[in-house]
Amino acid sequence: MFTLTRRQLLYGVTSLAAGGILAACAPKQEQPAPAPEQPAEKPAEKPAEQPAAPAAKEKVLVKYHVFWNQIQACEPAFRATDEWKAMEESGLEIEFGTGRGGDAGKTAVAAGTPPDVGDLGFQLDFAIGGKLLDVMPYVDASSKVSPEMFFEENWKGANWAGMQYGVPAHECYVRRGLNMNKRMIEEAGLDINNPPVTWEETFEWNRALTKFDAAGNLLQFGLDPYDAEGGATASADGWIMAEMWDIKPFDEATGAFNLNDEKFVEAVDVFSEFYRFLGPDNLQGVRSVEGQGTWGGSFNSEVQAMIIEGYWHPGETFKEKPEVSEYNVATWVPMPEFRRGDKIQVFSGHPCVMFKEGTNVQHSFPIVEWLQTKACCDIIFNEIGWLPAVKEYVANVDGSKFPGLQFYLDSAKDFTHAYGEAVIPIRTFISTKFTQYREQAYRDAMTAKEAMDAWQKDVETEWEESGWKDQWPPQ
Amino acid sequence: MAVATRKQKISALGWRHELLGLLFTSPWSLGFLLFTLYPLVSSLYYSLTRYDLMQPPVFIGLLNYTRLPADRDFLVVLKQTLWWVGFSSPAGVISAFAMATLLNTQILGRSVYRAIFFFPSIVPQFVVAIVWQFLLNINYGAINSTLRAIGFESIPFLSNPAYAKPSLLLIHMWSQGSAMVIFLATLQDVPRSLYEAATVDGAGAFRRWWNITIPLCSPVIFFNLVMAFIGGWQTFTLPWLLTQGGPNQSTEFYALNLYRNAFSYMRMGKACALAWVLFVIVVAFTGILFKSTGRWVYYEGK
Repeated sequence: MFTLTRRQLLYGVTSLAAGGILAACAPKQEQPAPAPEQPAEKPAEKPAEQPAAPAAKEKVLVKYHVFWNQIQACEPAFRATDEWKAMEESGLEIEFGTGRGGDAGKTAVAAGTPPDVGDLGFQLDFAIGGKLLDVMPYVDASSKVSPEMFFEENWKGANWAGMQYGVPAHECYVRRGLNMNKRMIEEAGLDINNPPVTWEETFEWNRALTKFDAAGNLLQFGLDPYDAEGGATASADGWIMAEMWDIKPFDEATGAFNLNDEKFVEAVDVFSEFYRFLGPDNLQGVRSVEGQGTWGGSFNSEVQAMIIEGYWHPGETFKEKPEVSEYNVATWVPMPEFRRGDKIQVFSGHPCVMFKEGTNVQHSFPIVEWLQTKACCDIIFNEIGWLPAVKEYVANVDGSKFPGLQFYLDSAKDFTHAYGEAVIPIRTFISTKFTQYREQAYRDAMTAKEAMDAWQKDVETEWEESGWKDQWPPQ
Repeated sequence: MAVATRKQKISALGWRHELLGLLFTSPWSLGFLLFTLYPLVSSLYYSLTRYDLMQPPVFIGLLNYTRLPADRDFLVVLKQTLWWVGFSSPAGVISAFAMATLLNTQILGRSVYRAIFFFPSIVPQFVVAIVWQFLLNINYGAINSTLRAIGFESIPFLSNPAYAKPSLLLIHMWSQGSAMVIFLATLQDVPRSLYEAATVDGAGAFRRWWNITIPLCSPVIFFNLVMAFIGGWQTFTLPWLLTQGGPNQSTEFYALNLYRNAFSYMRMGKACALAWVLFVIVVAFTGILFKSTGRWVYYEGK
């Protein structure tokens, strides 16, 4: 009979543990060579197949990860489409992962263990860091994807230093609209058909829509101007104050910042008035429980009557709170008095990228193509309410599907001024510092001028210390 | 000489034993080398570089250190963290000692109270944060709802710069179960005979507590104070979850700023420098605490 002594057991366990650690620390297998660098010119004829398509019977695992969680609900429908099945039949085994962004995603990319394709957020950081493939050789070889099929600003938004690092997908299109709750507005005696067009008028609406109890506690309010898209500065969704006040905050040619522009000071003063009226402490409290400052639930819970959001607001509200969605009416965002009558829109969104160090990245472009198909776009639109940047698809969207959506569809044609995404390497720093300094202003710890001067100084220091000042413009 | 000769001639069996010993300790030693020593040494190197995680680090000497005194954020977080450590370390120790003292009396249901007081320290911090968020929130919190229901104005516990740190302090004091258990064990070790002798000598309750309990517990008070102090400098989870460093940077403690630099601003080199500065601060302050032990810590064996 076999007997195992204590020593043998310890020996075995220890060997296994040591072996396991060594195996875990072993260098990665050599990566398959990624697709060749982009050809100088577009090929005369597109090849019948994508670059490096897998052989029919060998299964190639392609990791397709995204940072959103809500897209998880789409997976069964994705897998049931003929196009997805065709990809699998051609030899791809697709691992679809959601909720893979944040620090974990960033660390995976930095450590050389990214997925093959997808959207982990921080795309510009990855592009700057040289972690993404130039997609143009794949686009040039594709019969299904071409730059012309997308809204121009959406396409241009995925470009860094002349390299196209992604293809618009999942959630793109337009980002600016003032969404109003018709029920609350009519209850306050306001005319939903005559919405505010300037910030002064919006402030009066805010005053009329705000309710305090006898002890001065906030019960309901009109608009937190820094909520949702209103709070976006140099992030992926643009820079709303700069667009509204028509400021050029960053000169891409010289790398100079213009954050203490007097128009910025005026803008911060205007927004601060809302905070002083509503109470900064009240809004801080709402922010922490209602998801305010992100893409807020305070509108859905009918605590906030108006919110500045993108085209997704009608669909997402419809999915999350249909009884509130039925009151949703969208219109142009307010402007400062000197721009009364201007109608602005921003085209931006999320590119799908291919990670250079992905194990099977050279096989992953079919997923980028699949994301542009009607079948995929339909699922995402119907399940979540998101739209792609594909012009043909958006042209055929039924604007009555979600209350308020028709405004966005029209706005993409009717705008008087269009803006794109700010492409600045240190934009997270810029946004974070703006959030801190605007609070100094509305809490009267600094004047708006002092706050913007401090912001400019901090950003210039960061620009220099992070090395960008010496490296700008990027080669 | 004989020893040296023996060392030079290790038998085959001796080698086998040496190897076996190394093998048995390898899970720990490899873990230490890979997951402690290597990150420690590499963080020292990265602190001398400009490193954004994505591109190779660029050596910049001591710039990450020399720039810190002029860094507004660094000075703000240093001030906020000094406040936090200065209040939270003694407050945590005092509340744990007070709870332990109360539980050391002969009260009915003592074990139940013990479990109740210990419970918060085994609850994950994010759960603690959610619970307190819904207690303290200015608009929807249970405490403020009650205040409003009886006609009072809400208290902006976590929403106002003046209240945010004291509110976090309150939560911190509530979560002192682990220190409390250590104190309780120490209190139960104090010889009854000392109290009896003091009582015979006419000492009252306060005098017994001050002259017997405190001195005999002082080594454990010191231990808990050092741990609270080190933990105070590293405080991250609660302020991150409850206030994200706000309002108006009033809870922007050192570790939050370090994290922001590392993962939001992608300034890993600067973050590593901040970590080493933190290490030096903690060592220095801990050294001062150790220096002070001669004045107030009573060691029976001495």
